[in-house]
Amino acid sequence: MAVTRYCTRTYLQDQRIFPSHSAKISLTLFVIFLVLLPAFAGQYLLLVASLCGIATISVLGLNILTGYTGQLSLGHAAFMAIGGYTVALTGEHFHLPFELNLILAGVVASIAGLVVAIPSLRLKGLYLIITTMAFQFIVEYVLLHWESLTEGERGIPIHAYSLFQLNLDDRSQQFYVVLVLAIAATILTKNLAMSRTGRAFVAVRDHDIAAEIIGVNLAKHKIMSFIASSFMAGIGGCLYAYVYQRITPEIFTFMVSIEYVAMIIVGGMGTVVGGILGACFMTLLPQFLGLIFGPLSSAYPFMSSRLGAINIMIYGMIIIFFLLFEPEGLFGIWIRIKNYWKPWPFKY
Amino acid sequence: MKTKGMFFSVFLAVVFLFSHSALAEVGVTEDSILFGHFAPMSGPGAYLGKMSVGLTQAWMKHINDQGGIHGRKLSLIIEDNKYDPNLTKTAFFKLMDKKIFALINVYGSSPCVAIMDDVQKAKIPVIPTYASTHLMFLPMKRYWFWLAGCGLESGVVVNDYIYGDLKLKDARLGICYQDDEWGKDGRLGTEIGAKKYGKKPVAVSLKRGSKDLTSQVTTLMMSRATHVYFVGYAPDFAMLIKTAQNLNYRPQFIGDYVSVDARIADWGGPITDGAWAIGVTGLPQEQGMGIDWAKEISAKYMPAPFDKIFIPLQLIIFAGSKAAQTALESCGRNLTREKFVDALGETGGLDMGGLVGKLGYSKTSRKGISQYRVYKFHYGQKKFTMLSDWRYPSIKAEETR
Repeated sequence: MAVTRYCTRTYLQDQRIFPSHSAKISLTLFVIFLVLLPAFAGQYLLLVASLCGIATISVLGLNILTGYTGQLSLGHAAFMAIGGYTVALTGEHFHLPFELNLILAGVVASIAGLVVAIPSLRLKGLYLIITTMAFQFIVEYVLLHWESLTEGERGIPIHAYSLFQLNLDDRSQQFYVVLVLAIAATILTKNLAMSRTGRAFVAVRDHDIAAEIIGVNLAKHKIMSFIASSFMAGIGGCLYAYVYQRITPEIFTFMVSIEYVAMIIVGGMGTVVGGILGACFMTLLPQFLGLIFGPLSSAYPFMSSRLGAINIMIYGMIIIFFLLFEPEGLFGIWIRIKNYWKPWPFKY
Repeated sequence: MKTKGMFFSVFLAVVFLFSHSALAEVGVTEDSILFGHFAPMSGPGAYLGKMSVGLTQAWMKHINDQGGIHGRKLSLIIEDNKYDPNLTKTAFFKLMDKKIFALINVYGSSPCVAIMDDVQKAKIPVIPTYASTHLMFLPMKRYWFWLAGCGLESGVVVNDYIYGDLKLKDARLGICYQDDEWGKDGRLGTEIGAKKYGKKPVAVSLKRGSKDLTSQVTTLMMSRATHVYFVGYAPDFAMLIKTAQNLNYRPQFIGDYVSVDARIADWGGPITDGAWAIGVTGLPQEQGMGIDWAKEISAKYMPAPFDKIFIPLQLIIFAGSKAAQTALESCGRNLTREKFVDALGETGGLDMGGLVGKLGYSKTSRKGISQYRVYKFHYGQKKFTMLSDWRYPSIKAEETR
């Protein structure tokens, strides 16, 4: 749950994006690996990698709201849907370029975030959850039933688009766009978390009354948090629409909102690394389970429905496991692993 | 001379190698053809997924035991899509990376719509899709072969039967539909059909996977619907009838083609007796070359209870498999996706031996089914019988566009 680094002695150290040289090198190597990924990955792997990137952007948004500011939301998928449908509609009717669509998706989603944030200022805990959940259901209902605008369940196809001469119809080029935006979102969130505003968010989360006493404007920071969160969700939704090339209400259901909350729980609330780990883990988990259960279903078709149920059970059990035994999520595990190896070969 | 001869041999070998690789189609080897399949293995649609996987594999075993098609054995890769469009998308690309030749026996309106454009772009044949939405065949998509009951046309048939055949002028039709593309198609068809007879049906929707239909039944009861047409899964159809009974409301219930399922007796009890359903397949107790073929394969390769045909939906899967088999056979050894698609387009009018009505594929249409029947359920015998023979809807889906 910590915003500041472990074992830092000066503010300068605390404000660095990369805490150490080894972190800088390992992250650079990781980015190089990602850049080279399209050279050896197939369409499926690239799609899954793009989905991880999109989930990362959206989950970082939710982490700002829930992890840093402590405002629980079960309507994150609705903001993504707003972003996604914005690009679908603007693309269909106004043929706007990709970069403009992207910004527009974020802006429209953040306006929706503002609309939810203002009445939610006086709410917290369960009441806020119910409000955001209601927002999710309203958006779902509108998308499904305002058929003249949204085409209902059949959805809106997203036509081929390009960015700076790149044909983004291609999976590898799509992946690069998602990668660049995911990196940008990570740096932005990291900076925001370490800024004065980010620390105010944490103060609101830890004790709102105490925060107000020390001069943090609660309303302003809650609204800012909602806007930042929904902006990133909108961007995520926009990218989802482009990657899927068709947008339907079923992409952004209540279950998706739950999954996003699960991502920050599993990854670790209030940490950027945790958000990324959670997003990747929860996106890859069904694919990984599919790798195990897919061949089993092929071999034993009459076991398939049971295998499907086991699949879901494992999914639920992992979330329960993290809630009970690893409340700091994958981030906590990561820190423990790091701390274990730091003094190696000595014990302490 | 010897060196020249050697060069010539190498040249010929290279030419042969390259010409051979140029001819090879994705998913087709010397001795196998690889098909892909996705189905929900969990959730409300899992009971159908389990069946579609089992039947497809049984059909393949049957073919393979007979030596395959032109010496090639059929194999299948399965992906669980949980009826989720997102997972269907990744499942499709996974199958594509595994180099499948075609997708076979897939269903689900939302999942199929999610990959509709990708399939067209990748030029992978889908034979057939059981997705009940008219989007699958209107406008025609070269690689999508549709074989199902069209919600829109079934809705028209309901009206044709009630107001046209039975001339029940005072009948008031209600529709309870699953809140998705399939259900909406059914609602639209019911409204279009009713309009033809100067009527206006009452429509209520249900969310897929709903466990309580009290509010839907109450609305239908308040509107005094004498006939209730249901578009959704068979267990939900049985639940609707049961809920109505609990509220002492007894209209004539009519299910769509998925509800032509004898298991509604187990799910709904004796109250399901007399329910009607709009079918697109023959009945298990009927005689016919296709039905006998399906029975033989099921008895030989399927474990109980699927070793017997008791759901006409089983027949529709065999119908799709039969069409695929016919097309594969007519392609010969030199099998390509394009050749396969062209061959499928020529299976129109193929005698399905009672599995379904006349197969409707052609060069300009991918609509496999246009004929419907009205069935009645008999709880005691756990079977459906025919109320009206094969018929075309008075308004076809193509005419509504």
